[in-house]
Amino acid sequence: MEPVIEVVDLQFHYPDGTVALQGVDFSLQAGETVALFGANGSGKTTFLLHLVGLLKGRGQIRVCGRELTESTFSFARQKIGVLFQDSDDQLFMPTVEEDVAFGPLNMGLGSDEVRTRVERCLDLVGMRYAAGRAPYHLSAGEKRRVALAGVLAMDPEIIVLDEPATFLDPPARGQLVAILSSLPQAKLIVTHDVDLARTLASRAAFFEKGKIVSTGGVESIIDRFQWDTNAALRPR
Amino acid sequence: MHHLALERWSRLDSPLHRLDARAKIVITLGVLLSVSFTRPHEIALFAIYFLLLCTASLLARLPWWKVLARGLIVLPFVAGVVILNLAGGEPIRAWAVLARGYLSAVAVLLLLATTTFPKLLRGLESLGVPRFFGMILHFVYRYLFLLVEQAQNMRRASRCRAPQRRRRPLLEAAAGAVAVLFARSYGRAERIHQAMLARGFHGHFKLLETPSVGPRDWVILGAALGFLALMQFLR
Repeated sequence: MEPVIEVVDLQFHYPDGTVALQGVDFSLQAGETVALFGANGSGKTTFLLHLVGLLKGRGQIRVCGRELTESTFSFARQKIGVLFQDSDDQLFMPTVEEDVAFGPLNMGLGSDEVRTRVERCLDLVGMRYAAGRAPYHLSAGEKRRVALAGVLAMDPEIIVLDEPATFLDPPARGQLVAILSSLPQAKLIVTHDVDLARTLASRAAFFEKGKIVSTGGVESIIDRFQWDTNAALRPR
Repeated sequence: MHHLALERWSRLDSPLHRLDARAKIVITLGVLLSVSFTRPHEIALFAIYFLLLCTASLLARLPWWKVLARGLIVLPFVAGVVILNLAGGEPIRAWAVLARGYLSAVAVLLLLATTTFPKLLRGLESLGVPRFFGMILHFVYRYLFLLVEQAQNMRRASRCRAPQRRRRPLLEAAAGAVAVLFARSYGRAERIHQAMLARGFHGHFKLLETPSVGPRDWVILGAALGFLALMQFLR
């Protein structure tokens, strides 16, 4: 089966010359969940931004069988929903309802269809009660769930999540994990939270200095790179 | 913060809230022009405009005394001109500046308290205000809270490390904080833009409800503008 995301030899450097990606190869199958591990600054977020054309490097990216070019950005942004690390960056409309409607309205859907989607997605994340509220009055967990509803309202085939558990308290994190595990879409999760990866992902990839240096089962990647909180305490 | 109440009021339901945003903007502009053309000695006319704004507040089911109290926010801005006129021995002109400023502020507050911000922006846009300007207003409004919160956090952090509160170091810290706030705001603006593009934004805000001017809007608009014109005519 053809992967929903296929990346070949992706390279990118920032305008100041910092090399961010140096030859990334990656693929994601339909319905699969992959965790991306790696140190801060290793290129994970830069990689995610390339998948929807928000950054443009050298190399080839295919989304649901179509090559990513300027003319297919809209297609890719409809197929891939991005949940950003800071929900305040993502919730820019005055009310929760309007924010969730933002994506479907940009897709050119009619008001009735948009309203149906907004209600369905707010129900799915348990945030229907906040439809008329301003996003800045919500807790961090509520903001994250509303941001997820905004992504789901576009009916994506793939969801890309950048540190989804950051700033969340344990109950809010638990709610988010429960929602994410119920979603049928393929998911690509950038995270430092190994427990979240263990719960949600079937595969992991490890980023180092702008490259994926290893892929495999989540446990095997955690073991191989000693990627847990006890790593610093182990004798070297 | 003041605009929290305004936002809450703007989502109430009343005949004025249901009036098309464009009609309300045009009526507000009419009131501003009429008030600014009123001569200092026409005290009765000022009183009529005041009563008109009070009636509009009642029609909008707003706490009218709070709306009138919030209009006082304009006082610091006109205080200089008022003091200069008083010092120059022209108390009538000072009064007129004060009355014009206050009535204008209440008129604008009424517009903001009866129109949600997206509808106001859409109204301004369809009346010819450049879209880019509207977008800037939208983001200033949305992110003002976060900016204020960040500034408060930084102030708290600087206080924690400056227990003696000497003025000069605090001022230096404040100058640095402004620079940091600017850099952070710039970074946030970039990220917001990316988040908008990721959800298919093409440079134009679309609303769930498409605004339309109905017969009722035209009647109210005509009546309001007719009344203002009559006031000018009868002077």
